[in-house]
Amino acid sequence: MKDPYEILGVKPGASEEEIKTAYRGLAKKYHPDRYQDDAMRELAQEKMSEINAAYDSIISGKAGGGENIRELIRQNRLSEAEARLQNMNKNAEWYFLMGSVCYKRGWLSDAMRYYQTAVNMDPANGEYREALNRMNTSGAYNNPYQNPYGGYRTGGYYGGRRADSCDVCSSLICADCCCECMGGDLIPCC
Amino acid sequence: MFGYLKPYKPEMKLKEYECYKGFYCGLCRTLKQRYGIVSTLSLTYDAAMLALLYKAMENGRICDFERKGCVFCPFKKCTMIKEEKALDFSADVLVIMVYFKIKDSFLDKGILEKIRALFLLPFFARYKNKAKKKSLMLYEIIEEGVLRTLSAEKENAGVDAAADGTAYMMGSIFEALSGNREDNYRFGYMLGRFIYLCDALDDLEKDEKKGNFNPLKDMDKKDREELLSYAINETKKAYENVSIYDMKPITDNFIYLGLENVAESLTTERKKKK
Repeated sequence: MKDPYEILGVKPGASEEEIKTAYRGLAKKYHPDRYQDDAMRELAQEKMSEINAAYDSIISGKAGGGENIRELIRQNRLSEAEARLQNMNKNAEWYFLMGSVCYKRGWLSDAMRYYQTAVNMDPANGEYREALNRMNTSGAYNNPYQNPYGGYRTGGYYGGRRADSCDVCSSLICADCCCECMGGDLIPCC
Repeated sequence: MFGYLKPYKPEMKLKEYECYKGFYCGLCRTLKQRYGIVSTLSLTYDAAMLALLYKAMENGRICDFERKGCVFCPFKKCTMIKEEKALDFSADVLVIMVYFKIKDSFLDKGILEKIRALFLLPFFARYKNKAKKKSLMLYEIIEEGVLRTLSAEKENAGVDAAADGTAYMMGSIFEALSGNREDNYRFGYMLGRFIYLCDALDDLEKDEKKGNFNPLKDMDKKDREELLSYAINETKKAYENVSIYDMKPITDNFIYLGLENVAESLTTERKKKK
């Protein structure tokens, strides 16, 4: 589920009156009768049920329970997570979590900055570094145009294929073969 | 949407190119029939791509083609796609967006642009009203996206906040396509962000001269290129979560080669000018 506060467009900690006004405004806006087009009508109906669910969860006080911030981010309840982060002291973990919030929201350059700060403050932490590296790689596993042997068009300028651990091994084996041809040996065990 | 979303032609097969062109020509014809001959002036590659993605993400039969007369040349016959829903959707999005663009250039561009806008504005105001009647939600989404962008530019916001308006707009438009809404939103959001960044990069020199707002102003060249490459990477990742049922070779070409090619040509053009 998305962040109920974000759906209603109110801040976490808003008064009941504010939440009710926001709910009424949105319910009017997305009323399915306003839209004639079929696809749009369907979307409006979905939005409407989303809004209802968000309203219910806020009013019944379920939202903002005891879950931790990572859980909130995982559930895409970003503005709630951000509001909680405002009251914490800024250590490496804080920067990492802020980075995650921005990343989920699609604010990549802010996310990058926060992740970078987190890594600088705590270089030993693998999780922070992993998050930063993930942004650097294209992560395109299904790319049909990425031919490991170069092909007639190489990976291109942006996010092209980078060397990985397999490349290192295969290059070493190749080098070993060459050496053995010439009578030498690079890797004695094979 | 100003011509930044297009496939990389040299890597396309002929059949793929014909299919893509079928969407382009079909959209041109739809625009003329649905809105009027002046609206065909607004035709862009992006809108053809949107129609193609609309169809590609729909789980159903594969698309039909037909041979019909070209809108402009009476002796030429073109292959056109027969997909009314996708083309209508894309045509609606296009005229509303172009209306806002013309309105914007009427308010703060040079005198030549102003005259052009003054000529086009009455036509597109009428088209916009028609589109608004047909699809109110699309109009509201685009209007909010434009307003968000304007207010961010007024506040001299950072790159992310400035791109948020366009990205939100595209994300919400993609939500209306079939498939998982959240994944579609992310994919649209990233495409919109890419469009905004390309547009900002394109206008950079002009904005620097005139002192207009541009979120890329205070960055050096390497940062800008990095920013674009992150945007492309995330678009690819988001694309892989979206289910494509038809015309996958074309969408693959567009995502894996087209985006990079557009970004590359933007950055190298800037280098040449210097």
